[in-house]
Amino acid sequence: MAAYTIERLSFAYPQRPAPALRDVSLNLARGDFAVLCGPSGGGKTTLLRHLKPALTPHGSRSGRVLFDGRDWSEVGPRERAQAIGFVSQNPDNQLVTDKVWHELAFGLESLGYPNHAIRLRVAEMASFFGLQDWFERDVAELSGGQKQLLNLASAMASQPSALILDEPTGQLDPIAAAEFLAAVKKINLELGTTVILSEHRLEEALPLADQVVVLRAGQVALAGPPKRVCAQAAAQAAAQAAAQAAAQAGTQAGTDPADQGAAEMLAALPSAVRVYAGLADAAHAADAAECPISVRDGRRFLDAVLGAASDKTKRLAVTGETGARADDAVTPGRDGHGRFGRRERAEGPAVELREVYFRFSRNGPDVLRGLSLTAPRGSILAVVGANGVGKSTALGVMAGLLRAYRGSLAVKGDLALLPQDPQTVFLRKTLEEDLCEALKPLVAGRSERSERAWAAAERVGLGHLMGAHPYDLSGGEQQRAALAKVLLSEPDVLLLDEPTKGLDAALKSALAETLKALAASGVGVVLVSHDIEFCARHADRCALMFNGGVIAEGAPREFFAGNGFYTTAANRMARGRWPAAILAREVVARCRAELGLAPTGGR
Amino acid sequence: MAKAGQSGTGTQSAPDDEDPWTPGRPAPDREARPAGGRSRRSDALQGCHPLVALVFFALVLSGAVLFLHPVLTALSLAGGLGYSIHLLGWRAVRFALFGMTPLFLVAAAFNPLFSHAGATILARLPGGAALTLESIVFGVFAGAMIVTVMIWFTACNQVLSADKLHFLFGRLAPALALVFAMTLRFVPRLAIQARRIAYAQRAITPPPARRGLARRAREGLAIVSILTTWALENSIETADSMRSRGFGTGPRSSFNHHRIDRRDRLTLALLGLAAAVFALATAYSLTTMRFYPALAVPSPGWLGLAGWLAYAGVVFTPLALGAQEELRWRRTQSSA
Repeated sequence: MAAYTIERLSFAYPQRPAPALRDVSLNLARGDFAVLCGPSGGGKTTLLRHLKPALTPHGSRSGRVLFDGRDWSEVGPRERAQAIGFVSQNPDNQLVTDKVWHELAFGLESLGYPNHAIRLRVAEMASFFGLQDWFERDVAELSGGQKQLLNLASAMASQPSALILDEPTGQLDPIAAAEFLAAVKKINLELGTTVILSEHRLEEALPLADQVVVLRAGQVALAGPPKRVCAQAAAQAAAQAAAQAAAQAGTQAGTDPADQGAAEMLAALPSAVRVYAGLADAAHAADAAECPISVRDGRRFLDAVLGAASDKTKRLAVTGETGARADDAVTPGRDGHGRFGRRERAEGPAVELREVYFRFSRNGPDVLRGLSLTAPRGSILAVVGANGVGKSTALGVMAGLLRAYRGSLAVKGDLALLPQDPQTVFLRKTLEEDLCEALKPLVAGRSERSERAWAAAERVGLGHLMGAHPYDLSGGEQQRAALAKVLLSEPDVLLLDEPTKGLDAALKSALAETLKALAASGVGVVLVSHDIEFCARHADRCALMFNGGVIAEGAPREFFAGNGFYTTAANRMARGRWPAAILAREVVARCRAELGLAPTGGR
Repeated sequence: MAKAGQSGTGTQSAPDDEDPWTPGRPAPDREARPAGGRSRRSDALQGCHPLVALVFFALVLSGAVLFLHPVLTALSLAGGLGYSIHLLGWRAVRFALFGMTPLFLVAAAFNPLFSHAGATILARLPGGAALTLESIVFGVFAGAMIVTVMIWFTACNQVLSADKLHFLFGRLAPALALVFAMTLRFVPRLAIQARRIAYAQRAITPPPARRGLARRAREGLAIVSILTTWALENSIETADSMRSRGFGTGPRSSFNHHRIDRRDRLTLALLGLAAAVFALATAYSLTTMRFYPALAVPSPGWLGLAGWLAYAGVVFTPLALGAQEELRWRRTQSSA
């Protein structure tokens, strides 16, 4: 029986001409685990909110949504609340009360359950999710991951038959996100709850799913079981690349806009899928038709494709070096960004920390212990590491916001810091006012200030939003606006704390372009991130922090090549074969070289 | 992504204890306010039903204010000191020595300087006013009363945590109780966000401009203003979360996990009995001494003695309960 039947649903927000949803039809069976993906602004949230009447936005609508085969008019408000759980992105905003136990009970209280029934249910929830240890705590004491797990447990307290999750891991670090998704999978498997999840972390989410729906520009672009959807996406991207190549060969530049997003969509899919896309022709030859979506499947896929050749490659891998050479031949030079790149870098360090020790209070533990780190000018340094190793603290020390009690700090020129939460950056009612205000200490003339503010906004593509309240911008826009504000002082050093948090693939690559342009103009960029894929692809150097110090540092390839766990999915897939391949396209290139196929033009 | 430390649905995601964006929060060595407002030490009264604690503190605090009597005041002071030391350890001692002793001295010295009533004149002040024995003694008692009340309040603060108050008053007005719980969640969040914004702004504003007082004041105002917007903006999501969990679909119930057990009932009964004795003793004016025009302590009689005994029983109730628990614990350990 169907948990949800969506029939030709179209929806437009008031005063916006473009519909947010166009003719969406879907059928979700009971107990399905559906993952909803697609670029930001593609209508994911709007669709999810149509599945929970209390949150459905106002606007003009056609088509209908059936819950358990019934129209909403047949489902009373109590059942709507009880039978459908909802968890959204921000862990903090969803918590209503101050205590963990009270938060768990909130929904049941709202539904008027008696005390003894709530007591049992709350105890059940705490046991199922392993919350006993923090049952009596203040919610303020929990970490982000714990808060989100609490939100999940609170939503489950009324024993809903369907659970809707709107980018629930957007604000979490990778470990917490994996824990959260594992809890969701447990709910799905052990309770049979229907799960509809929108997600950017497809690397983790796709292997859990029974169904994948790709939503683009308000339309269902692809839908079906994950392996089939991924294979289709790969095929579409290949078709698009071929069309583009053809268009380039002829002078005609007009490609079908519907296909335009195919490459973008592929970029968001797991590394295994991207490897598959690059090797589609070889896959057909080797009869490995199924599209891999996890690292494990990806390794098997490579085994199948390479077939008999695998013994030979293993020997090559042991002798080393071959990989690196092949890579240099295949990937375009990574240092070639910008004219000034090299010259500026030769000028030396932008920020230098030497044996820095820091603690928050006199008797507290050292958060930084003998941290030495040099960020050269004109390049991007990525600092990676688990939670609580002192990454953000290191940025605070570099920015001079926190004082080290031992060690030295040298900064060449002005420095700016983009914090994790862009909302902390804005102070004024409109973006224009905010940027002008920030320019006050820098620029004397009012008209000149306004001019510079506009120029800064145009540079990040936000000119049309200068009149908007900063908080009314979308997450990606807020981050770009915050970056524009931070860059107003034209710093020589830019520090960024988790800049890719909550961004989709397209926004991430846009951010990377901005950072590369800055580095090319001589700015020293230091970013702290959990996003290994981003660092591997875009940083010039990576440093791994552990226990308050830097454990390893190097160019991304040598840095990640040696790691077993702390490395990219593509590298984990290619381990034992090509240890130096850290990006999907590098794996593809090596594999194609090995098979004697022509290198592909695309990714 | 690194998944080495992943542990199923475990709860061991690393707490962001070093998050410098919320300065003020990470301070492992600070007298960590224990979870659930509980003291680190296990305490018998904290284990009782909140109603017991409420009745106890109501009795003790009103006693401390109303009974100005050498025996009763001394008992209350001793009980309060003993209990707060039991709860807070050396912090209570520090509080009593460096906070309360000066307060007591000031209060005791103030009265004879300004009040010159009383029959027994000990000396003449430089201005010619009389320094009387009665005013000195009253000052001492007033000071002792203030100090006693303060000390009981520190204990009360530890025992009657916000969630217990919430429970106690939530039964009277459930809607109000929810507002209370939401406020307790909201106010600290607002403070943290204010600190985060200030931290972020310090990183943006170039150092020389930071100095000006006028500019700093203006920035402070800007932060307050944007905080209002932030609160409204984020409360939309909170409202969504409430509605999606059935808020407003019908009458609410109010969950609590407190149970009145036999010990609670017994303790409540004894406290009620003591209150009755106090009322009787007060009706016979046995609980308050007279200061003016001349000092006079009422002769106790059997009712007065009973009152003393009951008062001693009340002020030492938490310590007695604790001692009883301790004894039982030892017994179970030795017999095991």
